[in-house]
Amino acid sequence: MSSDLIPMRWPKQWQNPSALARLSNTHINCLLIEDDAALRAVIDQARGSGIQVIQATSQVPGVTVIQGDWPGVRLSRSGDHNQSSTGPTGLPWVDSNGWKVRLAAALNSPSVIWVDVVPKDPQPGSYALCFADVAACGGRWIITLDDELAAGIDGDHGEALETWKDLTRTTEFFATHTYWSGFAEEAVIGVVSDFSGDNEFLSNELLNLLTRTTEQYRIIPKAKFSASSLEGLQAVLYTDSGPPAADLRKQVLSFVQAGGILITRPGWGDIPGNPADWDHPRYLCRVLGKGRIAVAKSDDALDPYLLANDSVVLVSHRFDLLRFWDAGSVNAYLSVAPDRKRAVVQMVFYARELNGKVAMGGPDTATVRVAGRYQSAQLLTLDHSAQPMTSGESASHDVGMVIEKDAVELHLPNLSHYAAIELTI
Amino acid sequence: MTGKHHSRRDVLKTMGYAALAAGAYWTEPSLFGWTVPTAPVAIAKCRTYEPAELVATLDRMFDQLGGLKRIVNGKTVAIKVNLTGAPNYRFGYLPLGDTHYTNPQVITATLHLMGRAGARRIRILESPWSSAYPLQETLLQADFDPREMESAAPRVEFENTNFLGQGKQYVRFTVPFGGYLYPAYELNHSYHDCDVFVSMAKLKEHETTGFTLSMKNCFGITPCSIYGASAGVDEPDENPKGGRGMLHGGHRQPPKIALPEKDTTTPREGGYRVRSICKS
Repeated sequence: MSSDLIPMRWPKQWQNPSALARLSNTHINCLLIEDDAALRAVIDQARGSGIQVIQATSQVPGVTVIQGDWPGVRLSRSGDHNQSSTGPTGLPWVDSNGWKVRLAAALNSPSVIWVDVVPKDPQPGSYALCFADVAACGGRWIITLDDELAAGIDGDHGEALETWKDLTRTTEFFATHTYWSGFAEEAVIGVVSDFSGDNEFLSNELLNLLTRTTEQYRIIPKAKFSASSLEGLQAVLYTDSGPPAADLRKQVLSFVQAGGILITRPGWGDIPGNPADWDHPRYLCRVLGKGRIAVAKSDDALDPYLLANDSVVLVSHRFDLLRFWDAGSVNAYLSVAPDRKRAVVQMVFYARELNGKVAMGGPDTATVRVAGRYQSAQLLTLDHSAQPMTSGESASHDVGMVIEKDAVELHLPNLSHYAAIELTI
Repeated sequence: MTGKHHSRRDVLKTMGYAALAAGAYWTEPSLFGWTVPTAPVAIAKCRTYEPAELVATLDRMFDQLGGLKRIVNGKTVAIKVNLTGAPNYRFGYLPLGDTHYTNPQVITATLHLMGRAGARRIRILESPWSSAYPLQETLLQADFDPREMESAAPRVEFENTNFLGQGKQYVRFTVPFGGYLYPAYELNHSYHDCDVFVSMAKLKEHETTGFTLSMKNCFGITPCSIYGASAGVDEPDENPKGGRGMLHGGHRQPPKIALPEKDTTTPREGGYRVRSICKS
């Protein structure tokens, strides 16, 4: 099955079939090898070993390939690794692929999403980060080594071998947690769009920047909208330039009548309801039934950064499913098992602050609050077996779990690029 | 606090500037020509932040000060709380209210007692880090519950004073003695539209001033829309971002809506402009 494949672009310089031994005891089971006579022996031996060999990704049914970005904190234009480009509030700008994977999956369901991205000035740990960045959202990175790393592994250089080990350990982690793919994403906001044409930039950048807020959202392509699309949501974000189709409009307004929030722009068309008795600098607010509608006053409000952050506040942090402290630059995804008794929070850490400067890696003492009445939790990292998180006092100094009325607070130890928490009610 | 020739609001304006100049006041009192104001002080110790203990202790302290009713009954009370820094930063794993934020139970207990003493309206005020969003959202991010505060007294409001907020214009507060840095400050209307002003401090260390208490807390009444990193040259930035480097370092002047510094030839050092009160 395509969902079981872990693909790797075979380095051209690994021409000796003995290099295939590097894949033994790993979960890499699909090689992308350009049709090159020099690699014929590698291809034959790989196939003989049960490894799927493909010349082009189009040969794999059920797979959609998207172009990605090398994930991490975008460095300053000077290239100084001690400096980073920042967003409007000074937080480091993060390149990530999770939202792209989720969008591609929503648009191409039930395809498996592979991300094609080549290393760009890779730092130690960034190969594992790239794999985790994609895999946390259910996709697969087409593992691609840069020439320096491929040569280093070929030459048995210690640092290169360590990077390879780090990467293969990451593939193993995700290969052994495929059951999370049966969990459903929990969401506060639903983003409804066709995600294409004139609406592509705003909708795509909105997903990117909503991810950075750690707000949990659901991607709802217009073409796949159904009555169940809005279940469990607090708000709907409709930012397409044109009005919605009649049925979509009707269902969203019913959602508002029942207590939901619609955040949209003037292109929505006529806005029913009555003026609200509060003001917002960038939105006209109306009340409809038990719910609210916020319509952008001008295109200024449609700056994707403002739109993402305004949306979170219009809904209110009261409904945060995840809330972080001291986590650095983190993207996080909450999903829940079909029986709703188990959940998993996956966290990808891109950068942290170290002595006033941005450094790659995870935080030292992060805390995450997860909404829900969970009673137990275990921490899963790439290099340790599952660690139960013991519950303790509310003001505990220690790593562990604090059970609150409608949430749990998890005090996390020093972490690398990725960690997950499995929670049980 | 009500003088024969001054309204409470006039006195509050004076207090605001005393607050801004407090560090210098205590180290160089001769620069002032006034008599040092004195007032009763109550000190007590609570072992916990449990509401029962806090309410009883604060109630007793207010009685020791002469009673809360005579101060707040029928009045609009403004409480400047101390929520320094972004709400998603903690000291280790400890809740923000246990370390560098005013504890939410202290706020709630005080609201309860003020409401019971007849306060007509109580506004919780703060200029949270890099934000023009409702103050309640900052509280939620800090894991405080604004609804608990709202229910503690009859009419509790919140205002983010980092910008114009709910007001139509800024209010100019002139420094009575002429000031050290600025002759006047433009502030959110909430610091003017009140009868009683409370600086609800959080005792903690501070890198520049040595420690923080009620006077240092009032540093945060200055709106970052005017005195912050993103303030415009001509106009305030009503969606302010960043901190108050302008006040600390004097690297630039506020937008034209505010009066510029009195003397730009003075040292541009944070320690000169905002002094440590721990140094001799």
